[in-house]
Amino acid sequence: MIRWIFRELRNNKRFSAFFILNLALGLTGFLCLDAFKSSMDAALQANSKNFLSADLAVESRRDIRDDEIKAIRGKLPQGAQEGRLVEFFSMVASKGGSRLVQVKAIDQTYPFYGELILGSGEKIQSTSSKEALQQGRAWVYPELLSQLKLQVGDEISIGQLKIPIADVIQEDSSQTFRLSSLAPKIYLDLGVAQRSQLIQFGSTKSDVYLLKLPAETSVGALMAQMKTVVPDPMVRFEDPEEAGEDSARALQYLSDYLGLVSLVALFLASLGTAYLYRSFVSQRFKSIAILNSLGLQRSQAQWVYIGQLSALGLVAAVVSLIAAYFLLPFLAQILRTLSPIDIPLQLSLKTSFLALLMGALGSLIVCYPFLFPIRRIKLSQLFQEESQIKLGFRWTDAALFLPSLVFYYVLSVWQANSIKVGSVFVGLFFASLAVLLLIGWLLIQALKYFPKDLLWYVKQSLLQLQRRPVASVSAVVALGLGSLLINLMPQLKESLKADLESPRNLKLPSLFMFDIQDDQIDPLVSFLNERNIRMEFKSPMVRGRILAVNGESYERVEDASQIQSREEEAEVRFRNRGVNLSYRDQLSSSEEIVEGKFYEGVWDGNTENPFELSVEKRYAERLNLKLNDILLFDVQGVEMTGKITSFRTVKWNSFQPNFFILVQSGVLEQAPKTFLGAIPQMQPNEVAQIQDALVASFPNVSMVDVARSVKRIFELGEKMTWSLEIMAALSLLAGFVVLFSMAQHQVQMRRWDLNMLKILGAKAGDVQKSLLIEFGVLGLIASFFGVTLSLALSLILNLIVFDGTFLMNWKWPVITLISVTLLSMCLSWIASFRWVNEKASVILRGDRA
Amino acid sequence: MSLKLNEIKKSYQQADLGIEVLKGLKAEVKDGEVVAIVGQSGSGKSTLLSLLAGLDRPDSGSIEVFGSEMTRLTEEEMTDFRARNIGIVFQQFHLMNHLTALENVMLPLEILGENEIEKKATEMLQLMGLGHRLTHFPGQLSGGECQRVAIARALVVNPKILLADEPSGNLDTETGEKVMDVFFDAVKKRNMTTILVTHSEQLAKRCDRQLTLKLGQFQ
Repeated sequence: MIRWIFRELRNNKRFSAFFILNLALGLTGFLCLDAFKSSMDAALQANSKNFLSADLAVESRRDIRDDEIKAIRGKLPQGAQEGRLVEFFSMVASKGGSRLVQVKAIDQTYPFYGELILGSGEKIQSTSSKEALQQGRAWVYPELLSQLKLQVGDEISIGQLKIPIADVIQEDSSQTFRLSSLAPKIYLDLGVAQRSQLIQFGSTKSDVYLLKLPAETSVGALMAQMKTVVPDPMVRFEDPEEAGEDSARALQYLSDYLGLVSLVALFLASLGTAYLYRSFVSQRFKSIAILNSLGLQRSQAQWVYIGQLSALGLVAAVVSLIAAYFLLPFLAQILRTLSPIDIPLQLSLKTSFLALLMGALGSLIVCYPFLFPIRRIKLSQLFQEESQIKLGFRWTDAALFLPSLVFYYVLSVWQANSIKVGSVFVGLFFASLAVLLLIGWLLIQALKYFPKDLLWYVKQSLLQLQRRPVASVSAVVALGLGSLLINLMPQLKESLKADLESPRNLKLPSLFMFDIQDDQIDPLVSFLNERNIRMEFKSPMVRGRILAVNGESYERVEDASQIQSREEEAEVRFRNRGVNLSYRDQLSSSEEIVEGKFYEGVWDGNTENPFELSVEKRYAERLNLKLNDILLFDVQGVEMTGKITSFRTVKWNSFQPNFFILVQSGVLEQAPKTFLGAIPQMQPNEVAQIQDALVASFPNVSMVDVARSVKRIFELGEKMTWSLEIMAALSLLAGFVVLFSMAQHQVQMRRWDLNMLKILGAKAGDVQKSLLIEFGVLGLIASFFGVTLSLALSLILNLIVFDGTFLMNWKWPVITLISVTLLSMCLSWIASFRWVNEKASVILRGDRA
Repeated sequence: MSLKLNEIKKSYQQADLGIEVLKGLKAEVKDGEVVAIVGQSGSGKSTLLSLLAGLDRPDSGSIEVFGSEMTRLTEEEMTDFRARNIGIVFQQFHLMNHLTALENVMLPLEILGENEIEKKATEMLQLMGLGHRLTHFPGQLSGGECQRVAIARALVVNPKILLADEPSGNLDTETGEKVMDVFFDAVKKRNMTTILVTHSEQLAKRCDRQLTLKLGQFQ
């Protein structure tokens, strides 16, 4: 049997080669992604203590109270070491202008793990001297020097302090994969920072206690104990594993989505493989019948083909492993632009095993439906005149594709790490597939109605398309999906960019200000008025936390091991956070009520009635809040009860101060608060001038340069989408390999027809034209509908999911349309050249297969 | 004289070995004559047919068809010449499976850019007794019907010469006889010069003349 398996494959080298090529192409993207994921996980594991710079961190956005510190200390094992770190945003001023920076104020013990490498070559570890910082100097990230045109030794102002730059930080082991960091970091001594009076009430900061524990300590158990003595969810406990996860969230999301795109490539490759296999095996029904007549059991015949499939799948897996081995260094280069630490990408044993399993099992699952009908072969069919045995299609055969669909769905959920995202992906994917199938089918049927007086080779092309519907529709689907993907990313990007730069009906402000103290608001408004600038969107902000929903305690989620998906992870993150509250009488231009009624009037504190709340819709969905829910808040020690009376949508990219929860007037006016505000659009040089002036007069007020931030966000997005685009290109490539395989197979099948045409008087050039037109039309139909679907999909995603505007990018659809059509023609030309130009006399010598 | 073969030689290279298939064939065929070429497998029948159809060129010698020396024509001229003057019927039918019977017969007319294509093709199929099978695909026709479609396709352009390669070779005796009745009837009515390659003694006897090809030469 083994001899049979290999003899047939050896005798069908072309089929074997294309089968392997198809499957290997699909598997390569998948394997590269798996290697990327496992290498990233390994890097996270290896560096997790460095990210946290401790064994355990206790962190809060408010000051951690003395009683809480005492309770934590009470649980610490003998030999534990403590350190403290405060992180906050601040403005830095210098001769080169002003900038928002992220200040990391550290004590002598920092970092317990990892190191900082300075420009001078000095390595800063826990035991190293931090004399430079204690002397009131700073270590800064290199981008701050380049942005403000500074050098080591120059002086910068932070708050009231004049701080010389002691050195530049070349490497920071605590630097994570976070892509959202918009401000360069600057290291100060904790004592110096506290003296600067920059950290005031309500400042946007993190108070962190870092703990180094004896080696034998169980961090998980200790964390659980500490959570019981510090129940407030605003105080978070983080171990190195969580820190790694947390820091690489953006990359993990990216790899989830890359995984999904790689699945499209895998699907297209499977489509090509299935198509090839269907043709291969259906040509063998007669041989199977003959072997059956000679005594071979049909089940034995099936085993021969199952063996062949597994062998081909395994070879494809090996090929894809080799391809992935050579591709990984390129992927590593892309990753280097996204990650601050070097992640050595390598194929693990697990990935290699997965490749072999997917190759052998995947090819079986995809191709088995074509093997199953072997059971229906009847020996009597050998006595019929036809050169081939045709078994026909039964609707029950369709059920055999069910395992492939389930397999694909499971892979999607696994790749996305989310049932929701995986299901949405599979839903959208199969909906697109169904649309393309339907359109392909309808169009091909519509070719019946073409005019009769066309040139013969045009007519032949259209007839071929119409009369070989399986091949035509498969090609439309393969190229259509590829075109959809390749065009979707640029479309989305174009709209998101436009929306980010200028949200619908809204004008972006120039500066967004936060951490404005209550007593600074009037002087700040006057300061701006004197310069003929009106302060916009003045919004109070009060810190609070939700204690209970409808009387049920709103406690922290204790067991992180129960988190199964990215959605649950996000929900827990939101739940464990405090909430910023604000109040205003009217909605801002970036808000819209979508359910309920926005509160009116001032709350009467003398009644029993709760005050009214307006909650942002998605926030409510995440926390499972409903209209009329009663929320109990703790606002700086005071408990107060509110009722949800409306849900709002918010355009967050408006850069207007917006809040998840708005509280009715008359509730928070007397609570300690800070303010947020914005400065309307101005010329860039005016923005720089007013920012420098504000920093000089209000040093604790932090400001985000909106235009610069939008640019930075877009640059980061560009890096992320680039890798998605590469994966989409791989899918299109898979689509082309499918098309090429089909073209090869079709032309081979039609070899005698092509020669017959020449015998009937057709010129070889006209025969070639006929094929070019046929595949050109296929490419055009597929790319047109692929592009149209991508536009529809990006319209839906932009308007519904991202709640933004839709801006059509004309360049990509046109490029896709032309290039897919031309490439289809080129591929058909390459695939058919040999057969079209062979001597027609072979028809007299050969036997029609 | 409709066909004249002058000292036709043809050899093929197989590995390093040159095999001489046709060794200086000479023959003349009169207008409207139906000639059977018989011979064993490997005697060079198919090679001869491919030279007569202009699908291949002899190493030496010439082929004259109605006074024009075919061997001097360029590839493009040859294609055109074949389309207008030579009809071919194959043992394997070689119909286009994706085209209906009618579309198969229309095809050579379309390639030649003729008028009233559908009418001519329909008439030809009706003549072959296939008027009720016009919209059927080859897969829906019996072997005998397929061969009749193939004959109709060969005759529809009114070629001056008809070449047939074992036209009943793939059919059972009864069907084969019926098909050949239609075939002979059609060529005789048109007074068409016909070269018929066959193994069948019986079929060869129905022709005006027999030429036996043995070891690359007519005996």
